[in-house]
Amino acid sequence: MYKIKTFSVLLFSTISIYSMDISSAMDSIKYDYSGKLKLKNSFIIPESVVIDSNLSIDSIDFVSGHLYINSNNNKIKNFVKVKYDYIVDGLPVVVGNNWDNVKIIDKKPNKNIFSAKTKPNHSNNNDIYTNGSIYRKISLSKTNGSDFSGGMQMQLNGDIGKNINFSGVLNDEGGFLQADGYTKDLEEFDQIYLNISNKDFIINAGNIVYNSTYNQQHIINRKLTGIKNKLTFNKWEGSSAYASSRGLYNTISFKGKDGKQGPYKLLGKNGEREVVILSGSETVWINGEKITRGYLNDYTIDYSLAEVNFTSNILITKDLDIFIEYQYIDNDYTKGFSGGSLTKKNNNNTISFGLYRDKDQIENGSLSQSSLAQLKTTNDSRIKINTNLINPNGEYILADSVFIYDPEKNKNDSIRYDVSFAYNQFGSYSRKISSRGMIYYQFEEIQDRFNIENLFSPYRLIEAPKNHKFGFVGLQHRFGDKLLFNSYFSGSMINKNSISNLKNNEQIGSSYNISFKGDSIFIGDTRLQFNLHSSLKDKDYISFDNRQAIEHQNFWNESQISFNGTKHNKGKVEISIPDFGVSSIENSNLFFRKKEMKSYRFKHHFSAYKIKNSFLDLIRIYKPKGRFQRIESRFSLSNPKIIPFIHVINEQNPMENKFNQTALGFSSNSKKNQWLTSIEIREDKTNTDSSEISFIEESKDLIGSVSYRTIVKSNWIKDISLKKRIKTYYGNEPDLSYLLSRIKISYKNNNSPLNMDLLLRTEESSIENRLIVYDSVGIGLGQYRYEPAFNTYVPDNNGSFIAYTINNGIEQNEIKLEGHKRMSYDFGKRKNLDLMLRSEINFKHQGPSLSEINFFKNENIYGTSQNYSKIYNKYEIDYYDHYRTLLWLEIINFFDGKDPRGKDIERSKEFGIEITPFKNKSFSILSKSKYRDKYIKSTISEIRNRNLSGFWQDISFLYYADNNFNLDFSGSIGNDKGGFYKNNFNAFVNGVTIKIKLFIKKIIRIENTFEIFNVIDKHTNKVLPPEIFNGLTVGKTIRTNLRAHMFLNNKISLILSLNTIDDNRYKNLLTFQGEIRANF
Amino acid sequence: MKHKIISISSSIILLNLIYSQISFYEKYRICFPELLVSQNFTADYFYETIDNSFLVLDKNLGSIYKFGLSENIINSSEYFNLSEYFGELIGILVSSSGVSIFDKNNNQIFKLDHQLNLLTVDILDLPLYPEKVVLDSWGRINIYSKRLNGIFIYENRIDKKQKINLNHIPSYGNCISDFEVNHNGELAILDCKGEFYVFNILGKFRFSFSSDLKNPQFIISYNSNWIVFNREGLGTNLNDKSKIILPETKKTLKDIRVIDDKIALLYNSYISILYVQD
Repeated sequence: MYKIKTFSVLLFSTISIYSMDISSAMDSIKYDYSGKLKLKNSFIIPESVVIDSNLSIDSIDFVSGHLYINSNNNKIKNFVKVKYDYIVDGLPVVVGNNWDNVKIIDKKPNKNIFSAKTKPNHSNNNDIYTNGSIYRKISLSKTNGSDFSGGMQMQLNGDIGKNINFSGVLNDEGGFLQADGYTKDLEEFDQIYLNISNKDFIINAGNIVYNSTYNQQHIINRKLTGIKNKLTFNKWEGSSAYASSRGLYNTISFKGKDGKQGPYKLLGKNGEREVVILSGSETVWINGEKITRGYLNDYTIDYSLAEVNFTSNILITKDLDIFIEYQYIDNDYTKGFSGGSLTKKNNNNTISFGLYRDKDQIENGSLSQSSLAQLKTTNDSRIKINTNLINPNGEYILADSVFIYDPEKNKNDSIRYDVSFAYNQFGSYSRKISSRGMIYYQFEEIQDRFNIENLFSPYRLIEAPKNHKFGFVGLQHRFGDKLLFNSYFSGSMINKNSISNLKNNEQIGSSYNISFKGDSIFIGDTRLQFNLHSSLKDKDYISFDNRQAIEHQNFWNESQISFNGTKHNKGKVEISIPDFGVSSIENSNLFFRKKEMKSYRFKHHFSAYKIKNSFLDLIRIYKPKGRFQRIESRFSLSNPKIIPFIHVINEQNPMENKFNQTALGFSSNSKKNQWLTSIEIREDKTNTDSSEISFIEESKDLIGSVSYRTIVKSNWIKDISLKKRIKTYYGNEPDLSYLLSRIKISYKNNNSPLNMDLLLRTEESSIENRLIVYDSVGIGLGQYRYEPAFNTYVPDNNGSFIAYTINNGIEQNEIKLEGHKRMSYDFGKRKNLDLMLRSEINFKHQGPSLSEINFFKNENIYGTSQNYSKIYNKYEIDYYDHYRTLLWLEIINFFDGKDPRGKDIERSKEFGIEITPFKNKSFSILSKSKYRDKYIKSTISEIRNRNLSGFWQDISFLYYADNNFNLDFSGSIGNDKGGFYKNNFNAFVNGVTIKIKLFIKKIIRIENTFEIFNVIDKHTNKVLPPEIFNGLTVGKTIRTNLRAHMFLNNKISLILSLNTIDDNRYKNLLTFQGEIRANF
Repeated sequence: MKHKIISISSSIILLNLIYSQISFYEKYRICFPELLVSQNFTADYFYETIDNSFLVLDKNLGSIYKFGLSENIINSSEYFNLSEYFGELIGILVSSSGVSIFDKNNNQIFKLDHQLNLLTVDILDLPLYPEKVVLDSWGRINIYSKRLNGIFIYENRIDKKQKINLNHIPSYGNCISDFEVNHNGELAILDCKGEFYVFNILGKFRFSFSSDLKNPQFIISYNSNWIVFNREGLGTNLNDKSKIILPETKKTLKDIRVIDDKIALLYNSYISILYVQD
């Protein structure tokens, strides 16, 4: 032992650079008679081991912490206590002293590059690490005027005290944010995340999500900007938040629509359609089951359009109960959210209480003085505000109290108005799109409004600011280990117009929920549980969440959800019999809106191995209209390989409908994959008479499903889901027949040259038509320019228009087909040949049928098709050796029949080759050739029609004599010929591009690009199609760009940029940008 | 028992003689839940978050798991799945403005907030088809494009001017294994043949040389050292050519990150956090 000690001292002295902490531990380890015990720590100090047992140890592996036990120890007790010391951080794997480090002489000339090691420049004495930058930018333009902007981003983390960790980010550069997703009231930052934590508390500040719940009685889940904390001390634990938000909580519940997978629109509290959902704030339930977001899961959501689409995992039918909870951006007020809760737990008692407030803050709102005055003198929760203004340049005139769109000023003698229209389900105007792609509104007669989905009005309804308070007390007491008493009392107070000077506008409500549970009461092997429960929400009670309504919708099968004014009593007994199953008997009644309903439920889950996952569920509800009955049963035979199952549902809803549904199938859950195949038959009957039960046959439904998914990660990944539905109606309604499919197959192996990815997705759904519209925002501020000669919008960074999509309110049943196929083969992985082949096909089709997918023929543009089809093909050959060569072929076919103004067809082909034929130490040549062919035809406007074919050739000489100077000189020639409208053109271009890159010392980089091109058209057209020669205009074009990037010191840099364009489109356009940035 | 101690001591003394300068020891290990490892999950890329956790990306499933770093939340995990279509995911970055996931095939960036909610999908204006991405200390994303043969800067939108035009690098082999930006803004590229190239903060080429490490895959910057590693956990400090061995050499190294004065390693079933001692 002495020798060991000596050696240990020697050993640890050699690694003197480490400060090794030694700590003590005592492990209680359950011995499983395996002959081995594993201590919780490794690197055990040998002489410190004390074992509290009589067992004899064979050996100890002090490095790994394993105790090997003598095989004669058969009678040792279950738990073995071992006390020992250990090295906290373990031993270093690589050790060494600096003295034996002799630098190897660098063979490269630049020896000084390996400077002596230094500490990270971002560290400091407080153990807080920070990095980030701050910048200010000025932009000057001849057309846009001047703009001054700036930003800051910073990351920090470290320890600020004993076991207190601090981390966070500050960012006010925007760009990443969901538009208007968060308030900017918290200083000027767009995003702040600060986190301070130790074992007793966590404080988060900035953009936070606050969650609080008590026994599922209330659930508060809010996206906020502010501060929140969680803490524990003694037996207390709690949380609080003080924050603000733009988010407004709302829920929506509805039945699915046959054949419509989506989109399902999420609306504002007052039915507003143009709302933006706060990302990640939504939760979706189907038939009371929470479902998962993701295109390989159950649903997807578009937050900006506020739309939910269901994937092929869930076949939407008309009797599915859908419940969605979300927060959307309220443009009227910022919400002030504050409150907190505390809970104390001991052995038998739990007490919890909390107070919360959600208040609209008018000081940050957009209310005008007149609106404020109006709201103060009324008790109403909303007021009406006119949104028209007299403006001599306005686009509307007023005739007989109706606004008429007249942008061309055809009626000179009328007073002109600027009018802002707002969505209003009872409005009298519809939204239209002008021939120039601009939005306008048109008055509709009453009889025409029924067919219009979205109506608008030339005024706005303003909600009064509200103040909502909520408080609760929860008590729990356990009697012994079998009985549990739970009580929950809560109250709410809501003021629907908190700035009104009139009184009596507060609504005060209360609720309670009391339950008494018995658990683990055994009679022999049979276990009994019971639960008696009573709850009440008075009619003025407003909770902070609406989740109670999910049961209301799903179990009670009521279409009209009640969030308050309900009384609910329930008694439930559950009996668990080993090897037989769990039976529950339930009796409940519900009072709401002066109606009373009684329900009885019997449910049995089988637990015998052969039939586990089988159940029987009987529900009877006595409603004022009659007896609702639902019988659901599922029987499956457990089998290691194949599991056959039958699932039957019989439901009868008094005075409304009844159906029988039977599903038969097989499933398998192996370690490698999951698959399921089933067939489902359903018969629906409907009640024709509202005074008596008289069911007649309504429809027959046949649904076939196949799904297959690989579970184990392998080179091949397969995820296939196919669902075919055929629904036949006995009446006049059109039959349904559609396929929902998702096929995803991919192959990837790092050692294999082949890489493949295939995705195919089909869906039939009722889809609202979307259109792209353009809005002018000022020259140089947009992303598109309008080309009047072609009545088209062209992408242009100096343009004055922005584009966005709108729904035009027309909804129809359509098939959607989309997917891609990508393959690549890298010969370099097999034959040492640096060659890669790539191919890619992307396609998207949307329209009444699949048969019209090849709708790219010219004559078809005059047909009636309302398809949208786009197919993109790309093939590449990439020889990536020293002399690189890249060949590509790109083919695009596009047909758009969805624009109500007309149809567009577009075809293009491009073949290109990029070669580096020569490359040496200081000089290389790069040749880039493109041949392309483009055809555009439109029935929106004849002047859009154009076609062209031509080539473009660049030869670049790249000179890089030394590291300080690069010169790229390119000569270009090209020819494009074709026709537009009734004109022909045959244009030639030639020009040169000179790019100079200069490094001065180590602190300045100067880049200069000079381009001069001359375009001549043999047919002397003054305007040429925007696609030719990368957008060059007829005549001479001179473009320059000068950019200097310099470091004033090692922290501060300056970037100056000067751009000029002189051509027929932009005469002497000049823009300047200066940016100073400090890095820390 | 004697035998064990002697064997540890001998190994360490041996290592003392052979290796030197920078050494590592494992401070924390975040093991992925067994259920996760036994199922479909493969750890491909990772990045540290602002609240002392790690985001681990499975590029085939498009799923991200968040694993806590601080001791009290080790083994906790949150799950997120890309709700949009994606092609080949090549990396994940966390900056002050949020989380970015890069899709090479679709030439796009998925942008998420710090709570992993998808905010937008940004389709890049240039046909970059990103292959590798790195965040510099200015919070800007550096993107390597094989197709355009250069390094580009992305700061809310792509800067169409290349930061580095690799056509100007005569010996460059048209393929990179990794690249990295250090705290001084210097950028280093490790090409597929093991050649190492260094550029200054302005993108000026400074020098190149070969690493003698077999199959180098990763490059990191620690203090002022450039260190390359292969997937087996063997490394070379390029500044002084000293050899480095990571604690784990039997499992395949999937990704590596330098976090302040620590090094984090991603393996298929765990994350190892090493403290570094000069």
